[in-house]
Amino acid sequence: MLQHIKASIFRIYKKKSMRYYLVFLSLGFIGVHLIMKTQVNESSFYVIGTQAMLSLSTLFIGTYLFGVIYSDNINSKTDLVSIGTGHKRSTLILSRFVTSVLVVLVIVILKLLHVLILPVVLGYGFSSSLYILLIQQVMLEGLKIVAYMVLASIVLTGLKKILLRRPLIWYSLQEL
Amino acid sequence: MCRGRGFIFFLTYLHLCISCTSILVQLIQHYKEDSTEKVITVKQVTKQYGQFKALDDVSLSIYENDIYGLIGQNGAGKTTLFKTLLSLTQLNSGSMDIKNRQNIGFYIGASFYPYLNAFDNIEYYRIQMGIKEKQETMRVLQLVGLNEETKPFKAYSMSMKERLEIASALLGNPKILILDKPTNGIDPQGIREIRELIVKLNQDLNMTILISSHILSELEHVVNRYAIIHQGKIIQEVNQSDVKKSALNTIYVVTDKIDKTMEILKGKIHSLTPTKHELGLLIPLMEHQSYEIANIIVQHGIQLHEMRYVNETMEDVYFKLTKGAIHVTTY
Repeated sequence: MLQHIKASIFRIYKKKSMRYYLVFLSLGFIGVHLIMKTQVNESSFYVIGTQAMLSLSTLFIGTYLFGVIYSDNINSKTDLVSIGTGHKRSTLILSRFVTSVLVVLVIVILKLLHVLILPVVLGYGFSSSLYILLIQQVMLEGLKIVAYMVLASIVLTGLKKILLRRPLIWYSLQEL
Repeated sequence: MCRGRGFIFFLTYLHLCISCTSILVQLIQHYKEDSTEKVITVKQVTKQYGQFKALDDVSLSIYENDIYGLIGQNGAGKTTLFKTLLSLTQLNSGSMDIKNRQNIGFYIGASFYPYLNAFDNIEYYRIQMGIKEKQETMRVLQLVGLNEETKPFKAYSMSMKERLEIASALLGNPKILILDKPTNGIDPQGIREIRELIVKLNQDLNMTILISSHILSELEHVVNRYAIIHQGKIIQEVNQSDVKKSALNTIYVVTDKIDKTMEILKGKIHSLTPTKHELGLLIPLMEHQSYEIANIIVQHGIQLHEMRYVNETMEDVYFKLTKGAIHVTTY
């Protein structure tokens, strides 16, 4: 299983759009706060703005990561190669889950760096309880992303099973 | 007297030596024949999708170092058979025995990430397969001539894509290679490159190769055995060398009076069974020599326009067995 995880991490690392996407999100986050600071220079606004962006990020990052970790494999049929060379389906599913947890962990660390360093850079005076609140929010959103991806993959598997009940459609798709 | 006995003893000894050597040679030959092991055995395999039988009681054997062709029209069951071999789909009945299952390299269609280049795509598979040697990626890319490619996979030509597929199948130096329609959609130059690569892999790396294609004439150049699959059933397994031998036993004759020629030949040689084909006659020779037939025709005042040996191609065998038209080419 470890080799599957290593291979997936290698592939995600090599995907250029992933880097661009993260840079885009990072710049977006910093940009919004810079604009906000010019309008209202208050730490409470920073917290509210950050919480709103973190909530939205679940959808944005979750959808994108689902595409990178799950859909890319389905579209490129690389799982077929793994199964054909004797790897178990359960190993693939589990390795995918572990990969998504690891990638989300990296995203969470990046988010924490942004959320915790930016107020210092922007000169907001934060109490420790506010920092804890933001850390909790980041962690929670991280968990939400993992849950979102797992649910989406279950839905996808369900759709595949529905197709399997219509053998001729499935057979035609496989023949393609 | 003593000398005579010694001589007889020497002759007996020599005779014994020769006999022993000949027995030994026969034993070695027998052992050699037996050592050609079956690497894939498929027994009475059936695969159904609802009421539709994609594979119907399929049985075949593939031996070590074979280049085995699987031919059949679209939907005949070639890909399904490959998928069942690779456990990508479940069997309804029957059994399969594959020697050293982990040692299979295969491809059944493009399985690459479009945004990665050739090196990264193969590197991904190398890591996934747990191959420790980092130079393995470059080795397989060199084998298929893609070691200097930096473009992403989506920018590749069909031929390049197929070669990359073969490269991924070669990772870990497998002993069995399964290739599903490797020449699909490729230009003639690309087909030749892949054909040469397949032969090279079989000869240089002793790989057993199972290959399917619609282009029968292309398969003909590389396979030594093949099976014809039609509507999920294996109609026949054919040995390429047998086809070549039988080709020398059939002639194609064109005269100015075809019906009369047929009548005369049947009358003169009862065992002869000429059949009409296109403008002439197809005559299985059996024990008769071609010059004998030519003599009979000429003696009866019939003009002989054409007479040639028939080379039965893979296409001929295929169409004959699937009730199609026979195509005759000169041997």
